[in-house]
Amino acid sequence: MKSFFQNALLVLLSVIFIAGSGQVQQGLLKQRAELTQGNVAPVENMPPWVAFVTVALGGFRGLIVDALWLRATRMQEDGRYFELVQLSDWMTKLEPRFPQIWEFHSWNLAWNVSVLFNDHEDRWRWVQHGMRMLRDEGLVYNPGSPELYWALGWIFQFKMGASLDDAHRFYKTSWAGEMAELFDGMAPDFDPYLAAPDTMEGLLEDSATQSLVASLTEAGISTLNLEAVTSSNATDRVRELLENDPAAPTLLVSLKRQKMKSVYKLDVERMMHVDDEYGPLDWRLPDAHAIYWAEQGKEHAEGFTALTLDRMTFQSLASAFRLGLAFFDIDGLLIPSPNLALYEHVRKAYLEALEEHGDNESMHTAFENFLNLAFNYHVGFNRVDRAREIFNEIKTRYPSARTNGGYNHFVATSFGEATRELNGQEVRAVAEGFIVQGLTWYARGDDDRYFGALMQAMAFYRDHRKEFNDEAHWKRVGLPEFNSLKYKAFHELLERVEHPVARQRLEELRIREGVPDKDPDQATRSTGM
Amino acid sequence: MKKILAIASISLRTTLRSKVVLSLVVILLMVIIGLPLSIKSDATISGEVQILVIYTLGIVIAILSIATLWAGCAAISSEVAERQIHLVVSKPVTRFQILLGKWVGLVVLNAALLCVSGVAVYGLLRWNTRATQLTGDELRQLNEEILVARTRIGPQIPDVDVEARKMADDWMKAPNFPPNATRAEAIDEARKMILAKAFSVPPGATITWKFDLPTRLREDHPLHIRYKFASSRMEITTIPGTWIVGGPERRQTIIDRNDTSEGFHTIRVQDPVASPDGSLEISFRNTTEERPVAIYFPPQDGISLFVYTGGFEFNLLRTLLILLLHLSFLSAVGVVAGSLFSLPTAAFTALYLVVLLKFIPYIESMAARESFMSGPGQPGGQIFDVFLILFYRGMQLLVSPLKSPNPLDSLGIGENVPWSWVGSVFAVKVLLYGGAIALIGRLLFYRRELGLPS
Repeated sequence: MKSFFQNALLVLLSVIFIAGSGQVQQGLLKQRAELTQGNVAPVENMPPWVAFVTVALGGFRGLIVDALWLRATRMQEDGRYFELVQLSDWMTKLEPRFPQIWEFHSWNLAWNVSVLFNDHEDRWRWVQHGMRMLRDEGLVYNPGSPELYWALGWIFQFKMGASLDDAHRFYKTSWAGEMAELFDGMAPDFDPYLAAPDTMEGLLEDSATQSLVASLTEAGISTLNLEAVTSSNATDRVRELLENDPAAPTLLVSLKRQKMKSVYKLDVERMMHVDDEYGPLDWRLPDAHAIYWAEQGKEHAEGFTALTLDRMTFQSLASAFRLGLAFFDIDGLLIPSPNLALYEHVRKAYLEALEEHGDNESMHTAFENFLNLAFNYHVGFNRVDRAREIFNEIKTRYPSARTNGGYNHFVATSFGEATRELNGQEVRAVAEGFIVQGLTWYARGDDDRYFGALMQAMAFYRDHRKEFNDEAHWKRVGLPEFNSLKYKAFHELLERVEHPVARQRLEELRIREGVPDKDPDQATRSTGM
Repeated sequence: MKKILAIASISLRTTLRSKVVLSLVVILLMVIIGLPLSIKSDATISGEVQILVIYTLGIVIAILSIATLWAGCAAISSEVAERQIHLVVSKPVTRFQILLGKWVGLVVLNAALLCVSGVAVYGLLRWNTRATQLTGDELRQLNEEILVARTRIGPQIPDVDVEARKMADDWMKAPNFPPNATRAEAIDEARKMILAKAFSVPPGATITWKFDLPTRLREDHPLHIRYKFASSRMEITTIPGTWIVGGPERRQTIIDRNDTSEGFHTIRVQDPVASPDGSLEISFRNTTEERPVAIYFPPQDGISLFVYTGGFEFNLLRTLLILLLHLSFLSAVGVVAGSLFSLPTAAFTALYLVVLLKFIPYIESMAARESFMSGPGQPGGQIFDVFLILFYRGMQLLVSPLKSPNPLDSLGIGENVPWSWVGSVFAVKVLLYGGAIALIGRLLFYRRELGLPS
């Protein structure tokens, strides 16, 4: 009997202690949310083994992580990279709520390991490992960590977006190829995407879609997903259904939206907000994604982290202005080109930064450089009114001997300096602008101006090549042959010009100049059908 | 011998009856089948195969090691605790025969489990790499670089001892030579410096290495040159260069490359022509004339030649044999610990010894130290220093021979696990240390009073 009472007492005490610890736990969670920047409630959907390991191993997790870290370092030094993904995975899973571990390992894979490979495809695979580690897992376990949003945005902004890595063009082309599967043109057509269900259950609620899915199943689609229905191996019957069935457009858009959400973690509504705020952005290029992730990080950031995320948005926006429109040449080579529509956004961002940090001299220098660049681009693309506006602003804010000489003098002197001050990609954009300007004049019947602008473009391009007499440099910055620029300019203009006489003149010139007709596949990719 | 085998057989039957074996087989098969589904490789087929081999067999060995230690400790201690040992010792067998019999039983059990695991891993590997699943390039890479046994050959290292001694002596004459540095340290530094110079390639220059090829070189298999280099540029960058395989008087293979600094790279060479003395000359010309960069190949692992030696199957067999020998050593530790102590004490003692083996590099680094506690402001530290130095050096003497690389690391990258390695592990872990442990066990087990009241 004594034993029974003893046991009962122990059971009672256990219950009291467990209940008490539950109460304390709530308080601890609250305190953690208050005291830790960006931290939120524990993740509910942790895989069982991660949840088990984090609880069962307790403080010993750190020791295991140390041992794994030592092995990972040794493996990396020995060139045995194949183990790094698994070792990094274990380390992060042992400390899933420790953002710095995710940040370090994703950075190591995407930045350090990738550059050790010659082959660009190999490099891209490692960049993707790092990106996925953050996007698919790190942010799932730490949805309130601004550092992880920053790290992810940094991969888009600098690893893929800038020209620091020899393989940056491969990254951009590969990424643009992946995005081109999800939407046509430079961005999704947001309204139909928002209207389409973002889950399979939602999609199948509609009876017309149910009927289409049944027909697709009969036609050989066993698993309904975007890859299956758009596969080149799809049967003729599948193609026919997708072309003719009235429910097909919704089905396709829904499948694309689902893939955007599940694979790329892109929320269409959020994309639309970002595009409304800063766009029109070309979502096939990395800059738009850097802004997307930076904007998400800002929701959880404060202090210096918020500032770094602000800078990421600001710098990516400036970069998108310089080279934020994707175009594919006849060989499928990606040619990023200026996105002049972003001028006002970038200018506004600079003015806001100047308001906040007006005493910082470097901010003024950066703004002056931006205005000069924007001026060159607008002159190059024959946007004379806007160019004059920019000139007036430069003259008012940063007067100099050049501005005192008037608009024409400023145009003449600007391009003399440009070769030395602009980087290769910017020079390419300016040269391309001259060609577009010349072609526009030609379409209007002014042959002289056409030849003048073309000569200017050629001289500008040649000067740059002479200034940087280095094949590796041209290759890295992705400066294409002059004829590729002409090809791009011709077709871009032919897509825009509607006047039949102007179109005819341009077509005749294209044939006379020996510029190839547009590859239908490339046309689809660049114009977005 | 018959008595030993009889005891081994009884141990095995007892183990089988207790369903330990069945449980282990199920656990091991679950690991072998389940692990590849959960592990992440670098998304290449070669990476997947390497991970599968190293991690699957690695975890199998980890499980078997723990099970072996536990079973070894329990083999005698549990019989003592349950008084069954009284029955055994009353038979015409010596206590040493009991120890050996228990050990043989465990070794046979481990051999059987390892065999099942090896066959399962091999089957899984072949299933995952069947020709219909792979592209031609993937298949070629697997068959030439991973599912093979290749010998790694380093270049002939120039003898720089005389030059290093002379350089060190010159340094020691200089007024700024550090007073606390020894001549041996100076010679070591001088040697490193001379070798670094010998393995550096200025712009436009050519470096030539000689490799001693094995006498039985299989001509139907290509050679692979694996190399890495650092450059005089701060950043990791792509460096152009030309590789020339074969001496000037023979047919040469010339390969132009653009390789990133710091990364490992591999060049495949089909039908290289060796010199009559059996050596192969390999040269590298630094062609960075336009943007000159000096290049440095680390002498230890900057360049190696991988030569086909045999197939994967025998390499796997040799690897499994080494692992079995390691498990045999653990069995000896477990059985002897179990013969001396009760099960919990034996298990902790055996586990301590195993953990100690994992800390051999740490023990060696400690043993290399000249002082621990003495120094400015620590007058009494010298006594502790003497004690700690003696302790660590004694430990090093005791455990260092047991240090050996993991054969799975070699198997995973298609590197040959030679029979000499199997032989050396057998000699050290089974004959030398296993024998020593057995003798200690014999000595102490004979003195143990088994009929004590509980």
